[in-house]
Amino acid sequence: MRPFVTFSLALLCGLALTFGADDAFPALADQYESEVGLLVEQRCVSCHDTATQKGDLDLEYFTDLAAIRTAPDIWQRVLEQVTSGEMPPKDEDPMLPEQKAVLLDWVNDYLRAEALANAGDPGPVVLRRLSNAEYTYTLRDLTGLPSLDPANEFPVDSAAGEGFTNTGDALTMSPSLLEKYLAAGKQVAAHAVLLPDGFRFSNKVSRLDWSNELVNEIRGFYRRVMGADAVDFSYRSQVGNVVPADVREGRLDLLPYFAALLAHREELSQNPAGIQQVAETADLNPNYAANLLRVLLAEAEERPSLLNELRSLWNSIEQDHPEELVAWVRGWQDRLWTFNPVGHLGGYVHPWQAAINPVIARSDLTHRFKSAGESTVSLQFTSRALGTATDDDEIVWEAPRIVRTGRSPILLRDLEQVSSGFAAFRERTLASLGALLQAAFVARHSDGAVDTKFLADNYEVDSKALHLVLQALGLVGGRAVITGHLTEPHRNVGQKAAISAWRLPDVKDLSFVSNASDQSLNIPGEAPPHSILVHPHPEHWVAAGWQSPIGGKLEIAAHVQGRHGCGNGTKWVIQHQRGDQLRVLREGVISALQKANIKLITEARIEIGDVVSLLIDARDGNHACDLTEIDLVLTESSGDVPRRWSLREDCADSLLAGNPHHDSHGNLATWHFYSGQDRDLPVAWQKVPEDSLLDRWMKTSNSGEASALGTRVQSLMTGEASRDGLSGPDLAMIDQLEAVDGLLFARMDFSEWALPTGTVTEAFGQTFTVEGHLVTAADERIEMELPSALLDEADLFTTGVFAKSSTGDVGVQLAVTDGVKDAPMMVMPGSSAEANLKLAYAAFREVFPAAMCYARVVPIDEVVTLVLYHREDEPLKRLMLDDAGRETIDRLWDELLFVSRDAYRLETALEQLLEFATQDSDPAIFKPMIEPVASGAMALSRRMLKTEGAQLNSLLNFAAKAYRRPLSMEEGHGLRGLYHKLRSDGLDHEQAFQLMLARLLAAPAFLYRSEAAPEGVTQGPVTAWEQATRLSYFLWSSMPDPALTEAASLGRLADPEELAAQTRRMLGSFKIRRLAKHFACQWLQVREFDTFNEKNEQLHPDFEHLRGAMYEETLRFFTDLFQENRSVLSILNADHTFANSTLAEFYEFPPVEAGSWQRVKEVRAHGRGGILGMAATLAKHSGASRTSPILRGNWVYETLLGQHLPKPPKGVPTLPDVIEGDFTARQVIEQHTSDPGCAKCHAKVDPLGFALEQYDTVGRLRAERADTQTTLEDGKSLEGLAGLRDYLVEDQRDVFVKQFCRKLLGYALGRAVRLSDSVLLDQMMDSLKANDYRVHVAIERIVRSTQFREIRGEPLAQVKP
Amino acid sequence: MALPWFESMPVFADVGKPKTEGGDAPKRLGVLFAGNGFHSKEWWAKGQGKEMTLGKVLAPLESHKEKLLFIRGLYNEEALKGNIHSSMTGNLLSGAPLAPGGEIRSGTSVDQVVAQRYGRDCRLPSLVLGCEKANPSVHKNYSMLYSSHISWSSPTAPTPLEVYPALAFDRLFKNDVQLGEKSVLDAVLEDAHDVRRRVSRADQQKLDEYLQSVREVEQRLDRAGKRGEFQGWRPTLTELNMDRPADGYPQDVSEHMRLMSDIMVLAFQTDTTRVCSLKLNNDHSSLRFPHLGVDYMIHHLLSHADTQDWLKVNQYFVEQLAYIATKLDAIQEGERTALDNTTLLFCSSMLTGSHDATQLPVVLVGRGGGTIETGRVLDYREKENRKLCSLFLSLLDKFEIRLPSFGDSNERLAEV
Repeated sequence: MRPFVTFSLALLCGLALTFGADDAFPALADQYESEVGLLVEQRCVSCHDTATQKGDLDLEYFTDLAAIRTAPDIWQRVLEQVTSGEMPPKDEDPMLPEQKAVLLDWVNDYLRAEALANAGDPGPVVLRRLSNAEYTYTLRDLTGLPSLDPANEFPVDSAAGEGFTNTGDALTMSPSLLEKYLAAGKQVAAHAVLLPDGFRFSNKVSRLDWSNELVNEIRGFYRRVMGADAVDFSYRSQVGNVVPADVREGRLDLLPYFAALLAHREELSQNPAGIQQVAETADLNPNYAANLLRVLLAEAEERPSLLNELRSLWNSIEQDHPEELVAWVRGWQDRLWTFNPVGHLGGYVHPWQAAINPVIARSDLTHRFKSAGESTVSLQFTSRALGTATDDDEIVWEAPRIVRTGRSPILLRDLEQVSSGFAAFRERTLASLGALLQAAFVARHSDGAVDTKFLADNYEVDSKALHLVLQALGLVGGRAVITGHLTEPHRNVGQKAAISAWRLPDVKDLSFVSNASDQSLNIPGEAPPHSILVHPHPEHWVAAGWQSPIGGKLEIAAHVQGRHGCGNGTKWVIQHQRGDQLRVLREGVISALQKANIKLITEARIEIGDVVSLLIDARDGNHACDLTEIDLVLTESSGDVPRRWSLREDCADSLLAGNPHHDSHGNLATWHFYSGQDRDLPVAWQKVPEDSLLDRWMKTSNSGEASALGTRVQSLMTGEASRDGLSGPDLAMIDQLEAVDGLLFARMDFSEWALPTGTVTEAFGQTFTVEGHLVTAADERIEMELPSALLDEADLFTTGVFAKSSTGDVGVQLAVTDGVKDAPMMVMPGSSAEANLKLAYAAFREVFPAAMCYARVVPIDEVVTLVLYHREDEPLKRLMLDDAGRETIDRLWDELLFVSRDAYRLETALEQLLEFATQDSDPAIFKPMIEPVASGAMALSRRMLKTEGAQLNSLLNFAAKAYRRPLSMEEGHGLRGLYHKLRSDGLDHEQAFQLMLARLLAAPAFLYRSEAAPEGVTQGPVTAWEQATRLSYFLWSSMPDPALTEAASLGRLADPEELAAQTRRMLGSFKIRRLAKHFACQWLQVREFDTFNEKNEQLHPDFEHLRGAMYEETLRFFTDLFQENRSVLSILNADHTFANSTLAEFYEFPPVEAGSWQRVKEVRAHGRGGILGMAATLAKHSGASRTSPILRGNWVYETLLGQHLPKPPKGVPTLPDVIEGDFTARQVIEQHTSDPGCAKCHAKVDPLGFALEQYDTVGRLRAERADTQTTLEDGKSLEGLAGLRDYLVEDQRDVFVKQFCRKLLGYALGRAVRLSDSVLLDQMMDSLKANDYRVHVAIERIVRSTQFREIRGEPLAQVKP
Repeated sequence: MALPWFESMPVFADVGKPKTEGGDAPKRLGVLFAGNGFHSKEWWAKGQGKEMTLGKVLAPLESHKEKLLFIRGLYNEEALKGNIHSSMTGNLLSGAPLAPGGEIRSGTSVDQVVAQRYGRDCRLPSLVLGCEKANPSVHKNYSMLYSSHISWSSPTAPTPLEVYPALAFDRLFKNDVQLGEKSVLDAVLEDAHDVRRRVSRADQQKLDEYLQSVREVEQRLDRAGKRGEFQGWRPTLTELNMDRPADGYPQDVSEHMRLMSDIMVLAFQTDTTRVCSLKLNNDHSSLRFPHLGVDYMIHHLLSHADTQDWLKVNQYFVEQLAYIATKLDAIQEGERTALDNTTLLFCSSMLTGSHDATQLPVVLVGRGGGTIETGRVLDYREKENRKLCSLFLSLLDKFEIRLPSFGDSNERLAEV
């Protein structure tokens, strides 16, 4: 094998420095004229004369050195052709060796001199359009959107120069390409999101997606501040859940704070500044930790203070029990805060987190007596004062009374008399039951009305007792009886002190509710100020009943209105009950939020004891969101001052005062809150047990039998007769007749034994006022023992208020049991105690908001949500953020509201809702929104108009980035001018803005890397911006990053040291993978190997799944080479590579974890290492069905070593693709290339390829041993990949390294390497040799070179090719 | 050194406005290229008219014999220089010398000369289609760009091939002009003039490609929506009769070629363009033909011999020509068919797969609007004047573009 042509200046460098290049030319001119010129004329010009110009070559022209120097490239060709023996042709006489030596020596000397004379010539670099890859990377870097791929379907770029697609010559422009650029620019512009102060790019193209990105950013911000990174926002979707559950909803977990503060309690007391360190160590928000500490260390306040209580807790508590502090705080948080739903009408009506002051002016108290079998039951009245009470501070316990279902209450002061009176009466009655029944028998069989008085006199029985008997047997009418009273009082419903309710045990959702406050409250569903609301259950209606204390004509009005917008509405009924008779007066249905239109009922005839009630039932069994506001108003039709009863007025502020509830006319049991399941019938009353003696008495018409039965019953009741062996019905009958609430005595009116009103009474050791009130001191507890006879399952009701004499300086907690701990604080309205308490609560709330922010941002707590984004983060901003944080969150919110255009959306939504509301419900509820929504939309319009200028400015800044240099003034004017032109063309701001972006991205300054040629000089430095662009596109195939741009703007890039420093920085970036791809892979001809589809699918079905990994290996190998500054020789002899599990299996490496890439060492043992052993290169240079040693050899020869093969002969015989018979690819080729015409080339390349025959056509190691022993053209023998590798690394090291340098330089410069680059190439080689072949050395040499830093001047650009 | 862009503008001063009289349909030029030549034994035609007999490669054209002109023995002087493959293709339609050494320079191709003359009469001056992506490398000192491009709009600007059927389709039928687009084009044009003042003259020539592209897009916008107002004749088809092809690059070669053929016919039929070139594959191609049972690298392994597989592939290429001819012949345009008004030039970079470019395979199908006498076989092998560029001069005459010289020729082929 002949020596490869490696033109080296190494030897000459010293000489050149001493004498200067130009000094060599006179001698060369002399030698040419005297000797070499003659030789050329004799041996070459016969064919290559001016007339013939064989091979387009005219050597006759070169009469002297001056002529030769105009075309040194021709003499490079002469050198190549003669050296390789191509010339003179085979059919001519060969040159004498000494002639040849003279010619070659001279040409060599001449070329050296020429190279030196022009060393550092920047060369002709044609204006470069961005290649498709550069265009794509630049757009990605410019927009920050790594997924953009606009050039995906652009025409493929061609290569020129040293074979790379970044060379200007091959980067053409055409109308269709320009249209594609415009279209791609528009696509990119669609990703632009306009912001108040400019714009940014988003991966998405819809406004909704942009808004969601911001929502997620805001949520992420909240999460980070509150220390809940891992929590997502998958909110529970059920309607009505307004209590935030945990940290994800904006509640801060206080435990770590108190834990850390307690742990460092002593040191922090000494050194509060230490909190920063403590917070950092415990990963706490430092601002909140400091705020907490400040509160804990503050001086105690003089007025009543919750925080004082906290401080003493903090100072006394054990250090390892922070949870006690947390529980204390949490308890108060729950009492002093409430949450409203913010969907639907949202924050326009009330905030999400609202303060509540659980102070009350009166305490409605209830106590249920339990049956204990004792003769007495104890009862306490407890009043605990907060503050110092004086003697004037007294509590009035209004009319403590005992209520049994269905009958008049018994005042506590009367209990003793009533108990004993009733006991005596019952005894008398039962003892005369026989006579009573006889009288009743008569009544039963007489026609016409029963005259009880007459009968009683006649039979000598008590007329009241007789009346009871007649009523029990249904022989006379009587009071309507209401059962099904709601028995469970609930205070502070939903943490709202003003909300009270009556409920039934075990019936979920059923409730009778009132709002006692002046403000509308959400519970959920709207509770207007001072209102009564009910919520039915699918199987239970709920009702308010008015039991008439009078007889006469009345006017009845009712109000029914849905107060929760999400359900299907409710059914309502107004009915009148007298005795057992039931009559429906009005009924109807409403839909959600609808108000029922109920016609007034006039002239209704009512008797004492009648009941008028308003029932609310679930509609169609669906009770979701059935909260319904009700009122029932009854007015006397006549009288001087007609009396009036209103459910709302009588009960809304004192709902729990009793059930039955008093009215405003002094009647204690007028209003009844009750429920039932069957609406068609009156409530069931006790019945005579069937088959009992009494039942038989009822059925007989025989007076004798009746009399006998009556006597028998009486004797059983008095105990004269034995009850042994009685039937079940009879035992039941006995119970019914005996029980206080049984058949006989249920209608007993206890008021008979009550003391007359207007007397002061002593009872149970206490004094009761004339009204029956009990008065105690503000700080007192009294206890009394009550006879239990009538108390079994009865309720005590009373209401505690301050006596008028009280000072108002204290607050009290009241209870009718022992415990006042959790009782709400009662103060006199407008008192100083009230003011102080509110201050104390406010101070607590200041530091301990229940939630720091509304972290979900998007409300989902209502089915219909008008408000899309709700901001509430004042506590977070105040307590947890520093200025920068506040600025960030303000900016994010500002952007969200701006980007989402929420104000417009809201306006439209509200309009629709109003339209809907007028048809179906009261539009008044939306009224509070109309004005703010309209002005919000107007503000947005003004804002958008105002921000147009800022956006346009930021577009100009963007233009400078896109153009990779500052804009000229004219360009700035031009861009603004175009914008205004577009607006006047009729585009709106956003359309014009997007089109402007598209225009910038189709501008020559973006698409081309233009460089100004200095005038009047042969060459000169490029500008700082051009230099930055050169460097960035060389290393990153993209625009300069901010650091490089800054260096350029500061003028630092003129300094080669700075340029080198930037280079080193950039080599470490991930973007260097682009150099691996577009330089290394393109050089090795495996770029885009992941889409290489030239393999026979039948023979290699797995290839499609392997090629991606094969390509990735090569990319990673070279990325690593550049990033880690590895040896250029490692390209051939590395003992490592990169593999994933797929590739590791293919290469038979030890397994690699699935889904990851690993650097694998000692791969030579597996026949790999370096590019010779990579599947990508081996497969690429093979046939579709079999290997091709020719292609592989040619690749080594031309691509790796940079050698050129002679022109192939005409009429080449062919090779079969699928080898038939027992021949290997090698044998077939050897036979084929034995043809002397073919051998000329094949002898050079085939042996190189044979060495790689152990690898099949997709690069897999063949199972069986292949013949890889080969002898090169120069007689060198080697075997297999290892032999070839050693040969290249050792014997051909300089040739290979030079080829690498040449390709790298050509890639860096964007042109073919020229003779004038020889000095630089030699410098690169020398530096590599001296530095262990570290690749950075070569790159730095290029970056520091004149070629890389200068550009040809205008005169030279025209003269020289 | 690159030539100034303006040199590529043909000297049209001596050419009158081409006439499309009254209701006469316009003339069209279609160029089909298949790389690497053909089977050496089966590329022939003998006899006249109905009596003509065809070699096996040309068998698919049997039904078009009377509308066919088979020309043998032409060559391209410049293709014999330089290197194999790339330097035989990049100048096939121009006869221009090619710049080696990583530079790019050829000549304006004959189809683009026609396009530049007729371009303003329809929506698109020309349509340049291909079924194989360009090869981005430099091969033996010549850019592979040469082997991937036959249509050149200027000596330094090969016209990029549209290889995506959907995008080619969109180019034909996207006819919407967005508000403000014209202003944008004006603005970037002004930009380009500014840049032009700052850069070297060599770079100015490069930038002229951009300037010319902007102007052409602007003209297209001007013409958008005005089809049929340029001349008396109206195309027979104004509505689409083809669905938009699927996005992306077709995996199946036969589907790809068929779609591109359909688009060429549709472009002619709707008078969207009058010049269309379709490059069925690259010279130095790596297309495979699994559907023909020929699944290996075409270049070297396939084309270097006269195998049955090679013949199959050859016939497959000619079938595309026959398919287009048949479709055009079925379109009646007045008295004549669209094929009668069209010239389809079918050619390759070499005669046989073993790099023999001493004579080039050429077949014309269609009557060129009555200007071409078909049903004949012409043999120039023994003649003095046998330059391919002479044929191009003759063809340009038929498009009423009379040039004194083209490429390396200043003579016409009298017989054509």
